[in-house]
Parts: sequence; structure tokens; C-alpha cells
Amino acid sequence: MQEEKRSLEERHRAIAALIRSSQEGDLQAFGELIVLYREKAYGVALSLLNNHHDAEDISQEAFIKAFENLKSFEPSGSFGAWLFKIVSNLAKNKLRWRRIRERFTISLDDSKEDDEGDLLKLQVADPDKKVEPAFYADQSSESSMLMESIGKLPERQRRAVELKFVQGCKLSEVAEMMEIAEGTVKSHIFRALETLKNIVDSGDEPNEM
Amino acid sequence: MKCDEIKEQLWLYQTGELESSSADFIRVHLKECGKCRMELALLEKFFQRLPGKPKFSESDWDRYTARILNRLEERRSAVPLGSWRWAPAFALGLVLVFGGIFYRIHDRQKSDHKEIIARLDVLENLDLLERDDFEELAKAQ
Repeated sequence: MQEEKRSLEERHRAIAALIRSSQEGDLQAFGELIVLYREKAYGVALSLLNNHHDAEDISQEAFIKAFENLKSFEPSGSFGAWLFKIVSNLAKNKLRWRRIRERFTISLDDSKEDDEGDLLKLQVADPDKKVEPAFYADQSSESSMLMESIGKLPERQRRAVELKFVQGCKLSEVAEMMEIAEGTVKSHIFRALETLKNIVDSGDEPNEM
Repeated sequence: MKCDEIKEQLWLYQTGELESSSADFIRVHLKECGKCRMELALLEKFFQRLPGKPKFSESDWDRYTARILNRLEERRSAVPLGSWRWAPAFALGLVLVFGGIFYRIHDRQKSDHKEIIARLDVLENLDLLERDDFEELAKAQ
């Protein structure tokens, strides 16, 4: 236990040193920080955007923004929490624009002209588009069905479950990423598991929530 | 601890995130309680069906990191707007702007002079300023 605590302290010290060097413009040190946080940053973006390419772009953009604003980062604070906040903000902006774009996609395809002869047709896209199950490591139909069910959970429950069980984050990290208390994460996960366990048990899909 | 409270902590027990005293307590409880054992079995089923992490190979991650660092390097090598390296271009811009303004003013003055000279020529050609004409007119009256 004490050894674990010591290695955790060492890790904190190493991260603090990397942050200090990065603040002085050392790109190599920042590269090491990227390696430490990239999976989690990507996971936060993916849990919000549900799209691999967008999550990749947004998390990369967040690292760039973080480097450029590193001087404003307080070394006493948590670098992870600060970085995940940047990722969340960028992802939420992206979502806002995606929703606007998806709801009002103008199709100029005149071959699909409707009866009234309108050349401009407003298309309402599906805003609940989820990540393709094939993107995950396990592609069995049971896993795909489970991911689909997770996708139908209420937003906060879904994010908590994805970050905890799919991304494999620690409870404290999920709380940091979602900007909520650990106790709240636990209750979100517990409620989600109640729904998901029933699905696993019955093999049925849940009703739309 | 009642079964409901155990149920709330079962997933934490399963993921090894409970303090050792609580985990020991649940372990003992599970030996005695069939209902909680069934709950645990369901949870295990759920965990088995969970897909793994998104498929990202080590080289994918390396590319990911390299892309960020390259973009940062590009931004760093781009000359900032406040840099002294822009001074010659800025000076040239100033010369062009003020030179242009000076040329315009000078050009306008030159064309104004030309216009005045042209008007005087017209007046001279009309002979209205000839002194003799005025004298003759005065005599006739």
C-alpha cells in the first residue's frame, strides 16, 4: 500500500516536472505529457461526440490549445482536470455545430426533386448517431447489442459507463472528466447497471429512454 | 449491511475498487446469500459482454502524438506578427502608403495649375483683356 502511494507521488512529481518544462516551451516534454493523457483525452471526446474521427480531431486540438495556454495553468491544480475541461468545451462546441448542420442539411440534388418541384430540400438528419460497434475491439453480436443499449441510456449514465467500463478509467478519473463528484458517478453507474443487467439477463433491448 | 446496500457496492467489489474491509464483508455475505450471488453472476455476464477499448494500435497513437507535435512545431516556426522580422515589410508598406498620398496631392496641385493656365489662355484668346479695346469703347461713348 505504502509502495503504491510512493509510486503515485513519484508519478505526480514527474508530471509536475513535465508541465514546468512544457511551460518553458519544451515540446519534447509536452510530447511525454501527450503520451500520458492521450487515451483519456480521446476517451472524454469520444464519450461526448460518439464519433471516432471527431474525437481524434477534437482531442488533438485540445492538446494544442493546452500547450498554447499552458502558462495560465496553475501547477497546484490537476493537469488532467484542466485538459479534460478543454476537451469537453471543444467537444461541446463541435456538438452544437454538428447539430445545427445535421438538422438543416441543404440538399441540392435536383434528381430527387419532390412533387412540388422544390429544388432546395431540408433534410433532418439523425442526431442520435452512435459510434459503430465495429470500431470497438470486441465485435461479437452480444457486445454490439450491449453497446447499442449503453447508447440508449440517459446521457450522464451513458458517459459514466463508457468512461468507466469501456475506456477503463478509474472512478476518480471519471469524476474528473465529467466534472462531478465521485459519489454522483457511483450512483449514475449503479442506475445504469440496473438497466443493463436486466438487458443482459433477458437478452432484450431496452425501450427508448 | 442489507442486501440492497450490498447490491449498490457489488460492481465496485467486482472491479476491485472497494476498501479491503468492505470487500471482506461482501465476500463473507456472498457465501451466505444466494440472491446477492445471482446479482454478482449477472454483473459478471455484463462485464464479459463489454467490448474492449477502441481499436488503436501503438503506431496509431504514435501518429496521433506526432500530428500534434508537428502542428505545434509549424505554429512555432510561423513568424509572429509582433516580430522584428516584419520591420522591413512594415517600413516598405509605410513608404508606399505615404508616397502614394504625397504623389496624389502633388499630382492634384499640378493639374490645378494646368487648369488655371488653360483658363488664362482662353481669356487671352478672347482678347477681353486688351487695353486698346477699352479705350476705343470709351471714345465711342
